[in-house]
Amino acid sequence: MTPLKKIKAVVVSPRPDIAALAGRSLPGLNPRVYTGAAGFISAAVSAPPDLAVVDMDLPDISGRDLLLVLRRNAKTSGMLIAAVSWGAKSATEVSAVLDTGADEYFILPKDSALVGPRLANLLAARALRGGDAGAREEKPLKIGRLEVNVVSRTAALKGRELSLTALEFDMLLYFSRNSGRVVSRGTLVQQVWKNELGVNLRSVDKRIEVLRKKLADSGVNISTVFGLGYIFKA
Amino acid sequence: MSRKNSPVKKILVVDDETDYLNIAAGLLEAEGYAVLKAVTGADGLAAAGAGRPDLMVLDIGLPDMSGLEVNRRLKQDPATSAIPVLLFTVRSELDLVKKALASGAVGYTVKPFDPDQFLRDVARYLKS
Repeated sequence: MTPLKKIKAVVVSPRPDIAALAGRSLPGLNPRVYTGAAGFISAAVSAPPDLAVVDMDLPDISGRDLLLVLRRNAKTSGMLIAAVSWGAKSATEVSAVLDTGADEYFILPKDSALVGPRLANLLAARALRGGDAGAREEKPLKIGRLEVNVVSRTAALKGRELSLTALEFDMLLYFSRNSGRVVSRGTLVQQVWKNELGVNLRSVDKRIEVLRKKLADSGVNISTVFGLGYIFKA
Repeated sequence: MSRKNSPVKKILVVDDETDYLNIAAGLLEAEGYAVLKAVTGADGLAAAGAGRPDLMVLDIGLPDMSGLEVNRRLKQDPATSAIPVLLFTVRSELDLVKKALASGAVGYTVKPFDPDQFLRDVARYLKS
C-alpha cells in the first residue's frame, strides 16, 4: 500500500475542528487545508489530490454542487471524496450526497471515531486496484422504495420491475440523479429529449403525468414548482 | 429571510431561461424578498445601477455577454461594486468554476438547483 505520506490529501472546510479531525484520523496524512472551494479548485485544476475530505457546508458553493463539479470533470472524477457535515442529517440528505458521488459521508461529531478506519479502507481499496481510480462503478440509485439501475436501464419498485418506455426511463434517471433539485421544463427538453424537434413544454407536462402514475406507491413525488419546473424527491 | 419591521431586502435575478428566472423569483418572493428581474446582461447592469439590489443572482450563459463579464463590469463601477453576486448556472466545468470563484462572486450554484440550499445561501450572502 502506498505509504500515507505519499498520498496527496486535502481538507476543504472552513471549520478548523474538521481539518484537525481529518489530520488526526490518519497519522502521516498531513492534509493541505482549504477553507473554501475557490482555493481548492484552483489547485485541483493542475494537481488533483488522491483524497479530498469535503465539508458539505462551504462558504462559496454547496458541498453537493462541488461534488457534481468534481465528478463531472475528467481531471477530478476519479478522486476519492469523503463528505463531512456537522450536525444531524436526514437519511434523504445522506443518500443524496452519496448518490452525487461521495465515496463516504461522515456526520460529525457522531461519526468521528469512524473517520480514520473508513478513510483507511478507502485508501486500501484504491491501492488494491493498483492506485488506479478506474471507471467509477455506476451503482443503482435508491430513492424512496424505488431502485433505478443505470447499467440495466431498469427501475424496480419493491423488487418488481416497472414498465417504462426508454424516454420515461431517461426522465426517471435524470430526476434520480437530480433528486431534491428544481428542474426546469427547458432543462428536461435539453437533457432528456435532447432538443428533439417538435417537443414542446406541453409534451413534457404530459409525460410527467404518465410517469407520476407509474411511480404511484413508490414513496417519491414529482412536484410541480410554480408551474415552471419539477422537483423529484422522496 | 426578511424579518418583520426590517427593510425588505431587494434581490435582482438575471437569467435568460425564463423558467429558472421565474422559479428563482417565485422562491425569493415567497421568502419575503423584493425581486427585480432581467433577461440580458445589459438589462441586468442597468437594473443593478438603478435598483441597487442587496444581492444579484446571475446566470453565466446570457445572450449578450457572459455573466462573468457582467460581474466584471459591476465590480468596475463604484455604484455597483459592492453588490454581492451569486452565480447561477447549468455549467459545471472545473476551469469555469475556478474562474468564477476567482472573479469576486460570493457563490456558485449549479442548476438544476436545490431550492432549500438556494434560499439558505441567499440568506447567508445577504448577512455577510
